[in-house]
Amino acid sequence: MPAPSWPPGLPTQSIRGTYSEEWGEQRLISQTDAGPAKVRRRTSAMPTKVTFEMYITFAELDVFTEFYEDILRHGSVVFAMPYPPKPSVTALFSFATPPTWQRIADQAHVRLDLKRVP
Amino acid sequence: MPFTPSFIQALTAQETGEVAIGLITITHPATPEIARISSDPTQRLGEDPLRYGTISRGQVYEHLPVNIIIPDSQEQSPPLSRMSIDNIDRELIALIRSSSEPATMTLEVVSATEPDIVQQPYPPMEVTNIQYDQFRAVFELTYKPLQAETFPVGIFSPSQFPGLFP
Repeated sequence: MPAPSWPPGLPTQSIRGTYSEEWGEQRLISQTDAGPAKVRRRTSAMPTKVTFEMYITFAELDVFTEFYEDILRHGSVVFAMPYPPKPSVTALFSFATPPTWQRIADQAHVRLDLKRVP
Repeated sequence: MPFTPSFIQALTAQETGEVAIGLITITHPATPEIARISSDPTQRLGEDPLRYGTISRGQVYEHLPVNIIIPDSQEQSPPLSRMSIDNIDRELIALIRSSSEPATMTLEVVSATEPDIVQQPYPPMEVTNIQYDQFRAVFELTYKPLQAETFPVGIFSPSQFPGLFP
């Protein structure tokens, strides 16, 4: 069964300078008595942390709220979303922490803290 | 079965990108089902629910957060292995309590790049002890001790064949 898809009407365009990615630590480093440490790969797959902020309208915020609360069951399940650096590619994401938003004039400033899962 | 040259190279290298994977096969006399567990999320098996696992020799081994200690080699005791699994599901404790018969586990080591080639097989081991708390369950595994086997087998003694001794 495929994962729920990001609502087509919702943007994924981030505010300039807010998009960042952080790779998960996949190495196991064993310190030796002498010489350089031994390094090996611990696991085949590790999620990547993705954070970005975006402006959406209040109509879009309603869509996002329904998507997060009902379809994703408050962020419990993964979802498919266009990968922001390459929108033509769809990747799987999950919420690392619950999203936050604040009102800025007539728009909602949303902050997303996601994990891109392998 | 000896290690393949590429796996030996990975084991002895200063730095390696190879991943050693433990594949566990669990059988129990009470059920015909066979549970297959992998220690590594080698590939995605499904999206909803999100599942990872390893496919080896056509069999699907589901990834679970397990830690495996391969069987040791002590002089005075049979080889002992340990497998700890995170206690993430309340069904696990119910399953442990439901049967007094020991399950049999088979451990194999494969590499992520060649999952179809078993680098190190271990003979089937029996679960001899289980300790669990709210965080994890630890299974102790050992081979059936040879000392428990009768020798010689089938001797015509009064204890085994009382009808011969009226």
